[in-house]
Amino acid sequence: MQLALSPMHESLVIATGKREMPYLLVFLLFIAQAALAADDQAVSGQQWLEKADVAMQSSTYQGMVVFLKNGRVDIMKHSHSFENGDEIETLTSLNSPLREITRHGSRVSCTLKDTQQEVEAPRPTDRSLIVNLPINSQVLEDQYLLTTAGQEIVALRPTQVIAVLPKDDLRYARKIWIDTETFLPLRAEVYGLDGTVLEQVMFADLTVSGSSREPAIHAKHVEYHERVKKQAAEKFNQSRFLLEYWPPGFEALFFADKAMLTSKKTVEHLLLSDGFSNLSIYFEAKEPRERGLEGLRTLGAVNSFSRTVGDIHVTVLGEVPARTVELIAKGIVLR
Amino acid sequence: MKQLDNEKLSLFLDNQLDSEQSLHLLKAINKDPALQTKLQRYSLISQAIKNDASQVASSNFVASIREEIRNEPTYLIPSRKAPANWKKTAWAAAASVLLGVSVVTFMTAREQAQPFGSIQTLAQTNKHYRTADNTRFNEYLQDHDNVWYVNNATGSQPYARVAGYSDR
Repeated sequence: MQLALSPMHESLVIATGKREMPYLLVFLLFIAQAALAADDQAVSGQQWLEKADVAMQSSTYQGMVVFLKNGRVDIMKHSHSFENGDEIETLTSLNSPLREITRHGSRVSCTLKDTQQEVEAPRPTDRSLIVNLPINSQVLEDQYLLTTAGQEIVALRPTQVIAVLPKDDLRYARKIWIDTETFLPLRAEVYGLDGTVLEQVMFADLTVSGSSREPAIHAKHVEYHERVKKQAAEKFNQSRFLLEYWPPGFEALFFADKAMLTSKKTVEHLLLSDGFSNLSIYFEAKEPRERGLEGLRTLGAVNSFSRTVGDIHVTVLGEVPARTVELIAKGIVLR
Repeated sequence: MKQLDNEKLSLFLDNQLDSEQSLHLLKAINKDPALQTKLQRYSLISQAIKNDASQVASSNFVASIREEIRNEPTYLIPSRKAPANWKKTAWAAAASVLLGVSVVTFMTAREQAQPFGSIQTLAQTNKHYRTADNTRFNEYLQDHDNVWYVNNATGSQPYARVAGYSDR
């Protein structure tokens, strides 16, 4: 077999002599193949996630979803469909307290079955109720290594396992099991820094009825995402707060005044996200002689860090390691 | 005898034992390390059943307090010169001593009836702060996840992840 040599290879032949050339060529080909394979794998992991995000928005499906969080288990009936071109997603509890959570486009509401009381969520969202996936996973290559990690069966369906490995210790690692036929994510796990499973969500069964207007729906999500990012960044830049430490890869998605549901206290709320993990920062006016939260708190995957900055009580909270919330909280200053 | 001790311990923790029996039981506890451990365990169970905030004295609580008192430094404060109107001062001192003795007697009697009263008060104070902190933390948590509709009870965990974006 004859190999066509590139000018670089020819110069190597001259430099090394003909005897060593075949070995060197084999070595170089091996390196190149390994590099290409690694590239393929990285792109593949990214593509799987992109396909999963599109599939979640554009497919009509229903099934039973099991949530494992902080040592507790809950099972809910989940469905995703369309009504007049808008997405309708519902989660219905099978255990007390009985409730049905509905997302109609970006409007989220909950109906409590006991009282038939319907309450609207204070913050709309157009993202899935069960799994958080980035709209554009390409921008995350500095923060995460997205790679394929074998195939497994979930809910009697073959899935491709995607490992989402953070490149720093500011966020958690994840594994996502994506249906190889429908591209729907059927299972997701979040791992702590010590490798223990912090959260898990999994379809116990799934029925897919079809898909609808795939490109249009995804384009709508991308447009919405860009718009809210711009609005949030502009609003926050005009506020009196400054984040001296902005965690890499996180973008502002929401910034507004709001009244808390129970205490009715007015807070300013900044929501950041890196696509997988969300972080909330609450700025609340400190009342005289008030003893607010201070320091670190942990609940499963969620960590929070609170401190007082001047006359403001600040709490940073999210599904990230303790170090991340502490770094952000300690870097908050008043302009 | 053991069954009797268990019953007495249980009654004691529920404040249903009279002062005399309480005193008798406390003396027995003081002498018996096994009873001390049992008291600690019963106290923990009792607290856990009654509320979510528990603070229990360790089995060597009495011994450690006794040791603390023994190690308390003695302050050698120079005495003042007796004032000229020593009679008035003497009456005032006598009255103070009498008042002091009354207070100590009352406190001792109450302490015997409720030996963990101060600890319970401390636990209640801590619980108040902890409950307030938990309420605030839960409120932030629920807002962050938009999960207030899932369960508003303290200690409940959010299940549906619904962190959202801005208004359109």
